[in-house]
Parts: sequence; structure tokens; C-alpha cells
Amino acid sequence: MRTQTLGGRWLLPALGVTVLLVLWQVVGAGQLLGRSIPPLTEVIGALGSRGDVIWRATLATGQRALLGGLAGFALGVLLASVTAWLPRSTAPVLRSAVLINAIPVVAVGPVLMSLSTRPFIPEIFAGLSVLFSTVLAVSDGLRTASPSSEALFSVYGARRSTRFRLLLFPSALPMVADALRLAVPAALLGAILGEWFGADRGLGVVMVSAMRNVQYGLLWAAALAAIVVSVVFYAIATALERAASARFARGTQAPSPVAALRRGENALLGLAIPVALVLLWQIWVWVGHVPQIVAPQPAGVGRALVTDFVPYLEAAALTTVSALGGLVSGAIVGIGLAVLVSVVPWLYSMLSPLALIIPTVPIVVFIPIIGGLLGYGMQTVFASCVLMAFFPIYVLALSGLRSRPPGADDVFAVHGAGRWQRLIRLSLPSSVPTLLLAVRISAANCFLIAISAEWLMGQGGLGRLFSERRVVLDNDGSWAAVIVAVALSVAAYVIAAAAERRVSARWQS
Amino acid sequence: MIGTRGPQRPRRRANRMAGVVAVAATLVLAGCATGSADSGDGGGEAVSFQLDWVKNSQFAGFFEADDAGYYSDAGLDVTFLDGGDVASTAAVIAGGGAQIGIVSNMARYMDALETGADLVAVGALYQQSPAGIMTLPDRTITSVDDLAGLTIGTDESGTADINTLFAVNGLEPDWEDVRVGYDAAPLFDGQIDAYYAYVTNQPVSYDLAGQPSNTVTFADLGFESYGGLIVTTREYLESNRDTVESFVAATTKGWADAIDDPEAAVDLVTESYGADLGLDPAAELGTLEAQVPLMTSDFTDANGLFALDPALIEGPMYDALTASGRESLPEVSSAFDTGVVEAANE
Repeated sequence: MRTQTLGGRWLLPALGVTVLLVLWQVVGAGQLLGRSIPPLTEVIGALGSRGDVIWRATLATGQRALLGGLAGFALGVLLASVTAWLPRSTAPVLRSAVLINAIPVVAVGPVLMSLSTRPFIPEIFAGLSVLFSTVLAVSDGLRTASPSSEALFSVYGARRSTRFRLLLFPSALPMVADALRLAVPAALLGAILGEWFGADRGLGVVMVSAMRNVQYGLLWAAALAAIVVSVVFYAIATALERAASARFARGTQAPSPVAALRRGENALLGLAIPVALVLLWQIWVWVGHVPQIVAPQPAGVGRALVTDFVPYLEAAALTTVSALGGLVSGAIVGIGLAVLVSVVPWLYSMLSPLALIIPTVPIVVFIPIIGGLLGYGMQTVFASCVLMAFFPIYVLALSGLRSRPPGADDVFAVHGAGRWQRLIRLSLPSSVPTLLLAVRISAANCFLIAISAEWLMGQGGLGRLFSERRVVLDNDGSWAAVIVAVALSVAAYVIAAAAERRVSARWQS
Repeated sequence: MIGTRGPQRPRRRANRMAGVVAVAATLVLAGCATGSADSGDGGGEAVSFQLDWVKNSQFAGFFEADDAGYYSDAGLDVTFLDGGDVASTAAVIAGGGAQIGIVSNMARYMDALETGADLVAVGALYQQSPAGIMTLPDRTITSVDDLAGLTIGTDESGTADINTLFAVNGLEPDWEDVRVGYDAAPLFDGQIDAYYAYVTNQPVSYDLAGQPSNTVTFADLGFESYGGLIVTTREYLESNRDTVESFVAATTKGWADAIDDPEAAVDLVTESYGADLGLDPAAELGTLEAQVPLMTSDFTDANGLFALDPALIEGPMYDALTASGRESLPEVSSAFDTGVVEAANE
């Protein structure tokens, strides 16, 4: 991609940002989208008069996101490495990660607040937000070593550690770098959300306070600071990704399938992991004498589910519509945008900063904007789902579109293939493995997104049900909503993974 | 295309790595440097106090008590815990995350007791809950009938409160619930007819921004309840009664100062305890001044700030809770301990 010239590298992104800023000023000054969006000048004013506050908050949040995010990332790489070391552990590790990831952090917040974990909630949220996509992406990456190299290593009797160090890890590096990029906005949002559960300083605290006090300038200044931090971290991660892709050529090798389990083992595992988690939960409540107001017992949650079966079913249906609709629309937007910018490089340069801004802005800041545009209701939830789902798909699709077999570009160039031909015959087919991973990650996450959007502004669905039960401290009821959500998330992941196996089997032959 | 990225790669990569490390180090160091600004002179008995919002002027009296040394004089070392997540404070106190704290809403306190939580209320920050309804200047709400059929914007706790308001007045809930969150902007943009708010908070800020509004509290509409209950666990109260009494006594002194000189109290909030929030001093002063009439009454003049009136609880307040569909209410004497405020005012 010819983006290395000075103009392509700096001018176009700067132009993209400038267009956005001018648009912002016009919309804000004319109150075109309601009064919640202040003109840029007001935000700059707030940055000027409250610069010290924003600076301290940015440092606090940035530090939490960095520490928590790196810890979550490191743990993710470690878990993924375990799967490469012991291939038979892949299925259990991935499934556990999916299950843990499916638990909405808003449900965990009050529990963490009552424990000694309280000072570290932002870090924990940042780490949790990063963990899952890291495990998935890196574990996939570690399975992309080419079979011929694998054969070579085993013929020479290489030890496991040698194989891991010299073959698996290098071939996984591009995916590790991808995971790092996805982690940036996730860690920052996680830290900000965590700050709402009780921190005395940070961008999340400034936002929640400013929103209630009608300090729009300050609110947007904090959001802007979050974006700047995200862009800086993201630029660093992108630099690493470029370096990794260039040094260790991003192969087109699809990840080898997860070590197959026998049918019986498979079913056993599907049952054993949830049962083990429920047992741990029950033991924790008994041993720790955890009061019902902090966390309920599994039996009570089960009772709530049975008694109110119909409301939960209705809520689940509504949430499923938002989640899957958001996923599909987000995938269309994400892939479409990735294809567009890979064909039109100047557009890539111009849009790349903007694509990052959207997932970085906390959803609460978006609510008034979407609400002002679409009104408050399910359409707002749906729009948030699309906004949040499109980003990981866009990032991974773009990486996938850039991956190709070594020398393939030259072959196409020699034959005088045009841009579109290159896209259809080379880039799109080579991007399939990464795209499938993107859909799998997003499938597991789309329910979480729908639930947090419903929690904040939904008129129905599991998130709203959760919020209604939670606020009257009916923990049996609110956790029941969480359990249904977890089950749906896991189901979505399992279905996406099965679809992925089918597609990649066909694609490889 | 071939070879455009050549041998200079590794060094570039090393530079980038160095950059990452540098940024990381800066953030960590800067974060450490700005940490540890919290109060506490050390030495006294440690008490964590769970607030039910971020550190703004609605807690001015607590900060005055800390700043003026009333807590340390009483042998207490008080730490204030922020409470951005309003719904969790009862769980934090019951779970041992804080010794004392604020539970915003009386109905939620009853919910907490119903879960079996071992809690007891020893005082009420607000004699009359500041929860209420905000409307545009051309709409005045004087009775619940005026709310019938309206579209009302709520946050997480609003829905249950408004349903109770209808029930207390013997009516079926007849209003459309729109979850809009903490921002009243949809009211001024004409998307909703009314907004659930603390009358001491959002209306004050909007008024200062040149957007006047009408407000009415739930008590004005027939739904009486305390707001901001000061709550601890029964276990803690039984073994540390002196501590709780000294805490309430020192807090009473702090609030007397804040009511006496609101400007000084607001300075303390915006420049010290809440300095990381970027609060607007004018709005904080407005909030504090709007709050004082809700905190004080003939009953508190006679019995001290935060005093609980068993007759009022047993009467109209329990009536409202019963009307909202609650079947069993706890004995007033088991859920509320009036002795702490009495002892604190001796």
C-alpha cells in the first residue's frame, strides 16, 4: 500500500480529522443534534479552564487502562500459549474463556465493590475486556504455522520448547499484534466503566459527574481526552503490528483446527465447565458468608428463572434481535469499509483515525447523540450495537485483506491485474481466516453490547430486565437475566465457531 | 513494491519498542506522583464511609467535619468512598466494604432489608427526599393527576419511584417510561414531557445555564420518604456504638458549619475533596442551598440534624411503602435506631 509518502501518511489523516472537527463545530454551534453536543470551541474552552482536571483524570485512567490492559493481554497470551503447548487443552481453555467473557461486567461491579478488590475495579475491568479477544486471536495465531514446517520440526525431533520458540510463536506474532490493537479501545473503555463503580479520580468519574451537572464542555473534553489516549496507544500497537507483519510475513495459512475431541468428551466438557463454575460460585458464597445482597445463590437464581420464565424468554428474544441484527449490520459495515479503504488507499488514510474514534467514545456519551437522532428506544440500542460491533470486524478484515501468500502480489503485478481483480482474486480469499475469527469474536460479544445498551437506555430486553431487578436489589432476578445472557453469548460463539469450521473446510479444499 | 521496507526494519522496530516503554513508564510514574491525595491524619479509628455519589457539594458537611478536624478530635480517621454506582451502596455496607454509608432511597433500604441484609439506619441526611419531577416552565405539576399520560424520562431508579407515586395516590401507573439516563436534555429538546430528577441537582444546573424549569418533589405529590439514609450493619453498631455516635456527632458539627457558611463549604468541595471532578462552584452552591431546606425541619430543630421520627416512619412513610405493594414491613424499631442521633446531640 502506498501510504508511506509524507502526504499519505500525515496529510490525509489530518484532513479527515479536520473535516470531523469542522463538522462538529457546525453541529454544536447550530445545536443541530440537540443541546447535548456542544460546539468544539466550548470543549476547547473547557480544556483551557479545566485543563488540570482533565490532565489528572487522563493520567489516572490511562495508567489504569495500561496496567489492567497489559495484565489482561499478558494473561491472554499465556493462556493461548498453554493451548499451543498442550493442544488438547485448547477446547477447554477457549470454552472457559468464552464463558467468563460472557458475564457482563456491570453484574460483577457490585460484587467487586464489596470485596478487597475495590481499589482495582478499573484495572480489573480493563483486563477482563482485553482477555477474551486476546486468547482467541493468539490461540488462532499459534495454530497458523504451516504444516510443512511442522513436519520439518518433527522430523528433526525438535523439542516442544524449540518448536514453540522457533516456529509457533513467530508465526503467531501478526495475530498477537492484531490482538494488541483490538485491546486498546477495549482496555480504555473497561477502565472508564470501572471508574463508575467508585474511583475518586479519572475520566469516567469526570464524565459521570459532568453529565449530571450539565457541564457539556467538560464532558466532551473528557471524551476527547479518552480518544487521544486511545489514538496514542493504538498508533503504538499499529506500529508493532506493521513491524510484526513485515518481519514475520502474515501468512495465509488458516489456523489448523482445534484438536478434535471425541463426541462423548465434547459433551462432557460442555457440561463440566459450567457445572464447575456454578460449584465454585456456591462454595464462594458458603465459605465467604457472602450475603444475598452482594451475590445470590445458584438455587435462588434458578428459582427466579423458573418462576418468571416467560418474561425472561421475551426479554431474551428482544435482546437476540438487537444483538444479532447489530452483529450482521456491523459486519456488513465493517467488511464493506475495510474493502473500500483497501481499494482506495487515500480513503484509508483519511478514515483510519475516525474508525478508531467511534469505539473509543464510551457508549454513555453516544446515548444523547443517537437518542437525539433516532429517539429513545430499541432503535437506539440497535444503533449502539452496530457502532460497537463494527470495529473489531473492521480491524481484522483490514488485516486479513493485507495478508497474502508471499510473492502473490508480484504475480498479479506481472500479469497486469487491476485493483479490483487483485481484490476479488487475491485479497478477499486471503482474508477469509481473519474474517472468520472476527465474526467469532463479535458473535460472543454482541450480546454483551446489546445488554449494556439496554441497561443504559433500553425500553426492554435482558439488559433492561437486569437493571430493573438490580435496582430493587433482587439479586436472584438480576443474576437470572445475566445467566440467560451468558447462555445466549456462549451459544452464539459455538454456532459461529461451527460455521467457521464448515466454511474453512470448504475454503481450504 | 518489493523491498520498499528493507534492512532498516529492525532498528525502527527497536525504536518503537523504546517508545512504547517510554510512554508506559511516563504514565505509571505520573500516576504515582498524583496519587495519595486522600485525607486522613492517621492514628484514629479507621472508618470507611460510603457516599452515594461522587464527591460534590451534597456531601459538603461531611467534608467540613473532616477538614475542621471534628472526626479526628473524636478519634476517627474517616475515608470517603465514592459511589458512582448508586444502586450498590447497601451491598457495599452489608458486605463489609464500608462501615457506614448512605443508602439514597428509603424503598431501596427496605429492599435491602428484605434480602436479609443485617442493616440498620441511624439517621437521614434528607428529612424529605429530593427525588422529584422536573418539567418545562409551561407545565406545572401540582398533583399526580397532572402526570397521567405523560412521557417521563427516567434513570435506573426512577421507574420504581414513579410507579410508587401513582400507587400511593391510589392509581394504576399511567405514564410512559423512557430511559434516558442522567441527562435532562431530552426534556428541553421536546422528546419527553417530564424528567425524573433530584430537585437539588439537574434543575439547578439548567437554571444557571439559562434554562429555567418547574420542579416538584414526590413528597409534594403525597409520597413521603426520607432520602440519604445513614446506614451501618447491626453487628457494627452493636460492637462500635460509640464510634457510630461520635461519627454522627462530628458530622452534625460539620453540617452546621456548611449550613452556616455555604460559600466556604463549596470552596472546600470544589478545591479539595472534589477537585478531580471539575465542578462548577456556582452550581455546587445552588445545589447546597437547595438541599438545606430538605435537610432541616421543625423536627430537626428540636432533635438534631439527621433525626429520625418514628411516628412519621410508622405513619405516612410506611403507608406509602404498603401502597407500593410491600406486604411485610419490618418493625420500625428494628430497621431504624433513633438513639444514635439522640446520643450525638447530648
